[in-house]
Amino acid sequence: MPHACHLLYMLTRRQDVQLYKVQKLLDLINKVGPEPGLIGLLTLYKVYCPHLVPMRLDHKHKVFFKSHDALWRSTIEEIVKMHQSSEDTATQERTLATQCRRERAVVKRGAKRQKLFIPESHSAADEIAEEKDTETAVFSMFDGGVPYPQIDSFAEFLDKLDRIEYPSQIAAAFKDKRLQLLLSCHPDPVVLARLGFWLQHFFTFDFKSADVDHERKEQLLQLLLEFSQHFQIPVVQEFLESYLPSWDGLNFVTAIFSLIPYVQPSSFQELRNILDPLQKLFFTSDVYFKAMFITSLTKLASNWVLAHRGPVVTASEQEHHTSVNADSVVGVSRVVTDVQTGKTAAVDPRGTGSRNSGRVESEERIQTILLHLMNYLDNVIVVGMRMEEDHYLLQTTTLDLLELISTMLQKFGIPLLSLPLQVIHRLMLSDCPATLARLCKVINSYRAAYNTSKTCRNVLNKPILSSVSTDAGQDCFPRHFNGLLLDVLGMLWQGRMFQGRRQTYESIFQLKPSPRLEGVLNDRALTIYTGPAFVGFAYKFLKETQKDDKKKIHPFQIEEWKDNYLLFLEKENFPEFKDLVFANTKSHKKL
Amino acid sequence: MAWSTPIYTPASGKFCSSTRIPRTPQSRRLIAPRDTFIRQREVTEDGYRGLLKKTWILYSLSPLYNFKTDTVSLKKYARSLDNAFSSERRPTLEESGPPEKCEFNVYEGLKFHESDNDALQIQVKEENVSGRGSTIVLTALFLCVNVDNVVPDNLSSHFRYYPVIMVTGTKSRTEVLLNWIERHFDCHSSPLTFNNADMQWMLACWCSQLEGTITMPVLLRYSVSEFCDGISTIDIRCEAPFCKELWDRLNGKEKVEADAEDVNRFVKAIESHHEYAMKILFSKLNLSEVGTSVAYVSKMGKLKLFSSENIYMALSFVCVAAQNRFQQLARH
Repeated sequence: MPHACHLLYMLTRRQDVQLYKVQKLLDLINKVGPEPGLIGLLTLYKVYCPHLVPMRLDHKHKVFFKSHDALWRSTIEEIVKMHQSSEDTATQERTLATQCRRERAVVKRGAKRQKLFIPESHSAADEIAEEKDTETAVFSMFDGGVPYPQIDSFAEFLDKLDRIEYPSQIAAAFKDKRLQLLLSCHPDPVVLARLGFWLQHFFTFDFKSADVDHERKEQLLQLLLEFSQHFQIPVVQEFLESYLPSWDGLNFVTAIFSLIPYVQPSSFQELRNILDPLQKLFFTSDVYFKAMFITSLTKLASNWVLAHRGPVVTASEQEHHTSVNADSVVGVSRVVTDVQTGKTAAVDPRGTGSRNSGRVESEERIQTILLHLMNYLDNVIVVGMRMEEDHYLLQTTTLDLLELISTMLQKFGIPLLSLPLQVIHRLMLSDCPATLARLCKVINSYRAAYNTSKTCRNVLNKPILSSVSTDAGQDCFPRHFNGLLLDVLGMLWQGRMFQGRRQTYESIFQLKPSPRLEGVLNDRALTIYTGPAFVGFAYKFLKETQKDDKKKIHPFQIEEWKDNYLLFLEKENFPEFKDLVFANTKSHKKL
Repeated sequence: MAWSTPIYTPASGKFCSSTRIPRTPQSRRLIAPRDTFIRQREVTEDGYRGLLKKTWILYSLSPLYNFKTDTVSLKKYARSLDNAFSSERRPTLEESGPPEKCEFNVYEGLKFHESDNDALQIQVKEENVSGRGSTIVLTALFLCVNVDNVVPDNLSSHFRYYPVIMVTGTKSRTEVLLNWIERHFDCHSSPLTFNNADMQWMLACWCSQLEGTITMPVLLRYSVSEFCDGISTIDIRCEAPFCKELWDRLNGKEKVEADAEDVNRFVKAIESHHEYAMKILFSKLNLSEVGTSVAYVSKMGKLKLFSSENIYMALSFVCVAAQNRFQQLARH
């Protein structure tokens, strides 16, 4: 028997290992005891197919087969050494791979029930599949498929990319980047369904169970987050809709807010299922929660915008076509730049004939959702800022959102103009110069976006969805924007906050002060040289420009040197005020 | 300073919107379709006696991938499960124990609807020490009774859905079995627990059926350990005919399907009666165990069947509860 075992040991290949052979071997061991030869053969089986030999093998037998002839042994060793030196890389890698598998075969023995939180990659299901019927003696190896657990190196992974078989438990992909890469290369709907069902069941039954500890749940959410960055899993949205109504706002805060940007609702009403429970927590939580809420939804909008970006009309095209008669537009080919690829291409000015209707519907749906989301945030953020007394953190996160909204058309080609007036009006009264500077930049971006929208409408025949949060009509954007622009310029530059102007445009400063406030309200109270946000800059400017012995200095003295003061602010890293004034006042436009 | 637009606060209507209300079952069937039930009962060898008066532990399963119920496949599965048990029972080659033999077969008599999957039974037998015969040490049953298929049509050839597997046997063997199922069919298993709404449904609907002339009392066990020290549960026992009569008076004798309103009416009636008598607000407590002549169930997922006549109702409730929970996260 030892010789037979030795011979089998030398002859056995991976495809020769089968379940019935393992069982026969175990029966033999039962009868005669753990003979070294039998253990050696079983060890080899375990190396090739660890799932068929799951029990632990004692490796006290270092030598399974005695060598009877010393001369033969030394001769064989010399020949092996000669071969090893001339082995090619592939053979050496195979040897290394076998060694790795041998080590893995020794180590594997976990707790009684080896239920790992995230299962490991294995091909246990092959055990059932390998037992082929007698009529068809075709092995999986001969089909050309390579089980994923047998891939040891990245080079081998790339080499056999089109033949790799997925592991038996696909949830292993949560921890395995290579498997995720394989999924992205070959997105099989059946495999994704396996993953979806596993995840759905876990979140339904285990996530809310007290038996699974907090750390594991956090770990899974983190893994899910990393996975969602590459794959859209519908279960994530359903999980959030189910979990958030009972969420306390404290557990898994980071993970939850990181998952929200990856939802893809089909309508705004569906998104409300996530927003409504978050809104309740928003109004009852601290400023940090509020900031995370705004940041998360900004990221959500940003992801959608990136996913549905379209071709962008360049500035040169705008200038060209604003001067062209509309009648002559038809038939002229124009060049648009695709932001994503950087390539330019000629486009039919009559527009979107080449795009299929499904894609158009999807884009319109996303635009509508974005529009409603912006209107929603406009209402919620204002209340949040009032509750937190205009905390700077909220101002910063809100400005991130405004910067995204104002550049949707220019940077991403999303035909959407949304003007959240309530938030903008709130930010105008900030006492932080950085906030006011970013706000000026946002207003300039809106101006540029509106000019681009005119080109899109007239030339590319591309409908632009626009709205102002306070007014549902589509044509109100220019009116409200002009009102906003006049308010900002009047407040910051011209020092004409409360002076009445023509009733064409609404103003937030349009009020009739009570008699006791007459004469007290100062038109120039919030300019860039007298406002509370600029006191420090005004003092510094006067210090630099006025004589040291000048006794009386006041910010009002800057008024006649406003242009120089703009340059001073630019030097202090606030060029936005100069950009706003130069782009929007006639006197400076001519310069 | 006057704002040109009104300021909305959380109390105003602008922020109020319909929140998503968790789905509750609309209505459930109380008795199996008569002719189907008779046909199914005749098919079983022992009239479901093998299922009755045993304590089963319930587990929910996600859809099984590549799971087949033909004879050849079941034999393969049996051999593979043998191997799993033998390696579990023999962590090293030096240790050994009596060998275990697994059998997979289709359990006839539980296919009440065309769309239900065939119930599948697994029996694990251990050879007796004396060498004569063997003892069944574990029995498991894959159940699919009155359940909608959660697998989309385009994937139905790859997946088979059994919402519940009920197991009777030792914990270690059960773990081996579940582990084996998860590893070989890429599914996820979890202990099936019931919430208060599920327990009330089962109480109400099982009380509506009176089994035989001598019946067990109806047991309502409320868990109070989280509210007060020293008392873990409070039991209420009622005569089964009394509960049956109450149901008939409230909802009608010949009711074939019950809805949430029927259930709430019945449970409220029982609880309010006992609240008046015992001065304990049972409506504020959660049911932890319910026992009727049809079946006994605990919220931790234990089930004991008593009635073969009403086996459909007992098993369908359990399967539908598991399926409804699973589908709470399913996309429409």
